[in-house]
Amino acid sequence: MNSCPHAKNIIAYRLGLLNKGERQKFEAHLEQCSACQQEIRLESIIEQELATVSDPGQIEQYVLAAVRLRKCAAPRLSWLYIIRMGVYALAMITCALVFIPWLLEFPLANLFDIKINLNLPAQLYAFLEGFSSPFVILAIGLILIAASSIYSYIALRE
Amino acid sequence: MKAGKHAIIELVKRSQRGDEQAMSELITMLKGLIYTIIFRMVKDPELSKDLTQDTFIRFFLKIQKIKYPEQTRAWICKMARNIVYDYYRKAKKHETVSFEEIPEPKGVSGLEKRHKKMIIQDALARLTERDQMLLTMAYYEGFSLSEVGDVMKIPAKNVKVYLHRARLRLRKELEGHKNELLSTR
Ligand SMILES: [Zn+2]
Repeated sequence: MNSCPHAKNIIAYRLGLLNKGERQKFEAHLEQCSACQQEIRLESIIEQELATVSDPGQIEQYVLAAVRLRKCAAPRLSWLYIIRMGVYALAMITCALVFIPWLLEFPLANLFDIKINLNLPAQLYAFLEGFSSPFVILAIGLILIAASSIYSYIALRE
Repeated sequence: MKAGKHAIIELVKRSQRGDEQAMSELITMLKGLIYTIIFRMVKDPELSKDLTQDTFIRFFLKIQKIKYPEQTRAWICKMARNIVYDYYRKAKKHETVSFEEIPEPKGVSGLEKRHKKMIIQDALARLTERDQMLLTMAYYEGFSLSEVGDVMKIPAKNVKVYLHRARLRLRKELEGHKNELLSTR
């Protein structure tokens, strides 16, 4: 700042932070102090610059177009989401209801007895055999549907 | 451009009904403020323009959520700040950019004024983002202390005290440029 001890009051004075007594005292001083007058001029130059806003140029058309685009993209995205979910679900149901029983009842599976050829423990064999029950197949299908839904939800959020 | 509060409230209500003319007027009214807030934070004219556009896009996509149109200016200022923070979070780096390309303010010309502007912008750039935003909003025409306090999360009655400190810090940054700023050739 400058050498005048009153200069520290200048910004407070400009902001109207001085009380009545302080303000009157400062104004009386200001009339005779050229250093403080200069400081006031400096502060008003700074204030002028602070109050000056710059112009980014034409952005109206771009913003409106982008908003329009996003607004129509939003419902399309949700349709896409539903279609995609449907496809996944169908694929998984097909898998669960057709492919797994087909695999389990595949003639080769009967021909080469899993128990003998793979030398599996009896418990594990019983466990594998359990998969042929329709209830289990349905459960697997539902799990796969849920997994695919979660996957497509995450994929679409990206 | 003067941004009258009542005009803004009316424009926001029309924009919420999808009136593009009102949206366009709202942008025209507020773009200088938003651009200046962002520019003083990021210091790059092109980037500031992009982020200003992003701010308005986000603003209009969320405009239905405005329950109190009188708080629109404070709302969009906060949004601008968040857009800048998001940008930095993604970029994770601060780049220093020269001030060569500062757009000329309307009605101001001449090297002298341009030079003074650069000195002050340069000093402003060395303050914290919080100070920059506080100073920009506080000196923007027609911003009330309570609006500024709302954005800066300080009680309205303390805004001037914070402003005082920010001004002192700015003045300190300008130490040594006094004669240049005061010179009139
Ligand atoms: Zn003095």
